[in-house]
Amino acid sequence: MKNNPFILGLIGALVFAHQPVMDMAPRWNGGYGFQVRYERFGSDRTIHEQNILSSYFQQTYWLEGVYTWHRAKRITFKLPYHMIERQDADLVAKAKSFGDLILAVPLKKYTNYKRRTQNFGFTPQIRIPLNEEKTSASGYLGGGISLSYSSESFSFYQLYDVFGWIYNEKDPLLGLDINLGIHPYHDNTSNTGLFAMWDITGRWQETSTRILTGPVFMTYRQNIMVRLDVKLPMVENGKKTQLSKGLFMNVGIGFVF
Amino acid sequence: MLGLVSAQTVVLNDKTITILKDEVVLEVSGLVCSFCATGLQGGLSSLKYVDGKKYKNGVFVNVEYQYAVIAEMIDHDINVDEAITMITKSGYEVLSVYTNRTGEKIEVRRFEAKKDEK
Repeated sequence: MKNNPFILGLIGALVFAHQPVMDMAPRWNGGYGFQVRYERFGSDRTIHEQNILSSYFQQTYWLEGVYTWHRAKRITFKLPYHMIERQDADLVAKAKSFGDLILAVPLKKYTNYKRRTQNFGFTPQIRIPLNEEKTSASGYLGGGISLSYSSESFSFYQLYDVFGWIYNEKDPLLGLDINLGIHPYHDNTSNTGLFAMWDITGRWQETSTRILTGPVFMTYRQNIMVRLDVKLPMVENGKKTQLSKGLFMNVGIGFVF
Repeated sequence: MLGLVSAQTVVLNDKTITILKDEVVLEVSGLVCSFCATGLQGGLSSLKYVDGKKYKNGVFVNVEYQYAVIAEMIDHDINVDEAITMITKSGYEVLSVYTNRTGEKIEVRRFEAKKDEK
């Protein structure tokens, strides 16, 4: 059982494309919001099911905020705090640090229909390293572009987001996020409700292809929204030996004002 | 079904709504999401002469049938044009406004649907 030191640097962070708050709000002029998310993923098995005595587990807390100065123009930030535990044979390393700050300017073109609303989004993004030290999850200056479409009726919600990132010292990344779901419950009096969705997340780099999928549950009451994602790898391919992404879990709470 | 008006009721998106004397009902296109209600309630409740004792700070939003109800203080009328502007700034469009100032007859203002927003 031979360890391969290559694998650990390649798993990296799952650059999260979704925008606060939960891609949805606030839509009104002068609205603002923030959310806190916790995400974790990692594995001790490779994508080819090899036994190599290595593992990588990452937990990240995200503080994210949004300000809408016009209904079609927003500015957002996402600041991660990473906690990484990696093992190479007998060598175990743990690290905690702030990751790269992500700033974005989501621009949206809305169209309202009688019982439906939709928008096309164009979002330039920049990723700014806060630490000089490079890790698998941070330390890379990068720029990204996202093209998205979402549509919502009272009963159905759908979001498609295609995005690309380029970095100064890292492979470019192409991503696709799809959310499809239903809105089975809403109470107008208390503005309380529930979404149940399915998420498909695809990430393509020169060295790997990963597609994760799983359910999403989102509940809200007045101006508070809670979202839970659980995803499993459906496709994981790579030229080099790499660890699997493993079970991906995300839970977040957001507030809008 | 848009705005079939009878003596005291109106049918909006297949829902029959009673228009009370001290209320303004606005049919809003695109008003389908849960957080829309939060945004609209916050904005509309800040208008002058809204009766904050009714509903949630004086405003009820129905995202299933896409309308908002604003409760007015007795003997005072809200500025409907300000309400329309507020809704537009929230990212939606007002298709029609229903009032029942006398308590006997519903008055309707309709607006042409403008689908595109920047």
